[in-house]
Amino acid sequence: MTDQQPMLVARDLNMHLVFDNEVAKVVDNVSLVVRKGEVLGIVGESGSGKSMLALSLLGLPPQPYGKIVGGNVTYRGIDLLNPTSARTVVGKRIGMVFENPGASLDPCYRIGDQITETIHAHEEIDKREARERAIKLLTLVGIADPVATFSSYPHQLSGGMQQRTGIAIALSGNPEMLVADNPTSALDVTIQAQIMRLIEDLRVRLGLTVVWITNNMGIVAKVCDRVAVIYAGQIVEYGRVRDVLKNPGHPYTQALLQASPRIHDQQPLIPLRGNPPSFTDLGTGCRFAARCPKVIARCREADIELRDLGAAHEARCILTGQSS
Amino acid sequence: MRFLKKFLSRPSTMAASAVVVIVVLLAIMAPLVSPWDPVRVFPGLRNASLFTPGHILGTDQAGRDILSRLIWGARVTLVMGTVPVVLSMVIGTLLGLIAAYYAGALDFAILRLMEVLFAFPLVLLAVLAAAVFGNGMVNAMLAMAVAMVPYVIRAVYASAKPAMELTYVEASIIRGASASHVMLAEILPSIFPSLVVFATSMIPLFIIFAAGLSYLGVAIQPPTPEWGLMIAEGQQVIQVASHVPTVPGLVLLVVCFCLNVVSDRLQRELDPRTRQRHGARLPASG
Amino acid sequence: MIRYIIRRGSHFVFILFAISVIVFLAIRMAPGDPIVHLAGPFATATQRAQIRTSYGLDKPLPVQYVKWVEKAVQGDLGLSMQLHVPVWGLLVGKLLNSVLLIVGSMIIAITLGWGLGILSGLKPGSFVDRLAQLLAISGISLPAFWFGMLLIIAFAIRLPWFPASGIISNRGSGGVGDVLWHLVLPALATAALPAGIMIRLTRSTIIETMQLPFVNALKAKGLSNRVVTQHIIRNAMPALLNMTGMQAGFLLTADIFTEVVFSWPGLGFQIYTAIIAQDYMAVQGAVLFVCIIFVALNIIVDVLRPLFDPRIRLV
Repeated sequence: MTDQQPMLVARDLNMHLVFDNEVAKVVDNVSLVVRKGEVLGIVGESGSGKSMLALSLLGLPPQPYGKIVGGNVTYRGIDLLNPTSARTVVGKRIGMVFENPGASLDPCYRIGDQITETIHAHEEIDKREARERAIKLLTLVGIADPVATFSSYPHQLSGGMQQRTGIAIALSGNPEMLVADNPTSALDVTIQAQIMRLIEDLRVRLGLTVVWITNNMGIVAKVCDRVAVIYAGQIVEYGRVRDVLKNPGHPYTQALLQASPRIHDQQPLIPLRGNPPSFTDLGTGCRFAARCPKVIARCREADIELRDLGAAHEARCILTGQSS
Repeated sequence: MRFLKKFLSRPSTMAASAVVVIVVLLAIMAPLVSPWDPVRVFPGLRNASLFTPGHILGTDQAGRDILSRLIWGARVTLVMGTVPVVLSMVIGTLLGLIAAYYAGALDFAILRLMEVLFAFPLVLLAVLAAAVFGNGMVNAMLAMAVAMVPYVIRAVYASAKPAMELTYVEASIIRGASASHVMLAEILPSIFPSLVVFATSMIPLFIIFAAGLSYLGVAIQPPTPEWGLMIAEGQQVIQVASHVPTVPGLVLLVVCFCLNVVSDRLQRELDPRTRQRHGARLPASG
Repeated sequence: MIRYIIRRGSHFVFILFAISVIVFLAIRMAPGDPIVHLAGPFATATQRAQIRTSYGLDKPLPVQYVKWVEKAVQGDLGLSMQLHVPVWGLLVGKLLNSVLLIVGSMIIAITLGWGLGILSGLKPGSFVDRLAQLLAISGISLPAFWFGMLLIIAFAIRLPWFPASGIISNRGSGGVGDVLWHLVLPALATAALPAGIMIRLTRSTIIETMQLPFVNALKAKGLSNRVVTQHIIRNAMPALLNMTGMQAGFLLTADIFTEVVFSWPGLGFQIYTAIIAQDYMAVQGAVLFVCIIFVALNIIVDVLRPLFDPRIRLV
């Protein structure tokens, strides 16, 4: 099914937001591997640090306060934390699609220019060819009138068209991998389904490896092969989707599953109470302790490591698995 | 209390605040700390240079002790910088709140008035008003306050109008709260911090503005000591005793500099946007 | 677009009307009687009455107002009571001098304001940033007239590099070079405040723009830092241009302080001397003149905005 070759490898990645008198540890010792051809899901609530993680994986901590303070990220061995080497990968071999398509397009430039600019950044090509390629990309993502869209400004397009454009931009470097940061949450429900289908379609047609970042377990269940669950900047569970869904090791994962609507199931939805902790106020011990229904005294004593549940399935909870 | 500690955490802020406090204290205690009477003339000692015995900052072109004039002048300068700001903030805030609350004829009238006032460049309005209504401290302060009102109205309106859409404000209106209650007890507290920041940043500008008007001769009249006036009068002897106009200006510069530093720091602490970052959740990019 | 201009235009006329009434009444309400001033201390009552009539000051106020407006619309703002020359011609000449000063100051202020503002905004907390902030706070804390005086002491008296006042030398060539030489110190003094304001506003605009979501998207496209910075600046332009326009407008009258220090024969200086001399006609005309320019400037800035921000369509 999937080629076991690792593409994107992150090891002990740490990203902090450094303010005047506080530090927010937004990405905390994250390690993960994305293998060729698979679809990795990164799931967590709003505020869990998913988007920050996505940007950090590309070596792009948000300015002006973000800093990568530890660990490394490589793509096929190329260091993504080194701006020079990263430039051969980011935008070219990895494309990224963003959450709010309207806000992710530069409002002062035309759509066509935003696509061709990416093309020109990664290859020597003349303007006419770049324009043709851009129009082909717009067609590929399902835009009805690519020539008109080419000359439009972002605010003149609907949400769905803006996101399709975002996908076209992400594909303009002929990438092998696509990172999709919650690409559907800002869209209407019907458009959501269309975009999801589009991405799945493109994945098959272009043989892409995909990282899906979402707060929706349903999406994970549907399209992902493996999943990493994030809470308060840390990975709290990691494994194959079918293993995690059947046997969630971490109470947070369990809570997420219980709170997700399942069409064929009559089980009541059990919402998760409370809010994620503030990143500047984390303290020691398990970060989920305040909201965990299974919390015991030992949970708050020391920081918890990821524990092995077998078959490449790990969870950060002392109540399950063995220490690895 | 914690706010005060945070506010004073940097040495630059502490130093600047100390300077401001000292100047204010000196101004208040002028009769006690001033070495001489500010209008007393020392015949034969005109344009005395710095460190002349008995007159550490020298004397001006009329033979009056500069240090004493500076201390007494602090009173005038500080008052002229603060009173117009307070006055225009009060009037402007009321008008701005009214304009935001009552959409319709009142709103229209206030905004049109604002536009007309805006058509008069700030400085021109003040100079004109001072000229029309006569010189003197009170007139100058009134003129500056009037000139500033449209800016306050605009700022208050811009903050208060969106506040009208806030749920708790709407709830209050539905519950039958009176107009004044809604405006003063619901909307005003939410925009108060930004108004304070606005006001404190205006004070140093107004101090300079007042000094400038005095320099032009349309505000404070001699022999009252005022830093801007001292500079104007001292300009006559600029060739022979350059310290006479220079020292008051230096004092103006330092005081305004410190006021600006304090106001900046206040803004950092009070501005809701930056406050949200400290300890709160990250912006919506989960 | 046309509709917008028409609407703004009628707005403009309304404001003009309001301004003219206010100015007219305000001047009339000023204490002191210019006729006494004009006629001199030895005039008799009859002579004063004659002068009063010649200026039309014996007619009722509304009549005076209408006459004034009638003439003003034709470009005749009356005769200056002090200098006995047509007010209009007087003002236009001085306006050019003021414009020269403003342009000179704005060049300095824009270079510092945009330059340091952008540099410090892109790298907050850096050395450049702290330097820029220091300069900015100094700029807004400096009284312009005092700074001018300081410049005169330093660079015209102690080091005789520049002239201490005026716009041309008494015994000089009077050419462009001479004027520019005279322009240096006044422009520097006038530029301090707007430069300080612009450094700060530019900095905060850049920082705000930098944090908008599309900036991350641009970086994720693999664009070079230079290109990303271009995008940031381009997006900040509408706000920066607005700010610059407002500063320039502000300088139109705020330069009165440096004009007086340097005896620079501009509009501000003219208004100042006219007020002191209680020259009704000149002050009336000058204030109206300045307000018109100011309002027109605001309208121009507004109209130019869509050029830089495609999202704004003039409604």
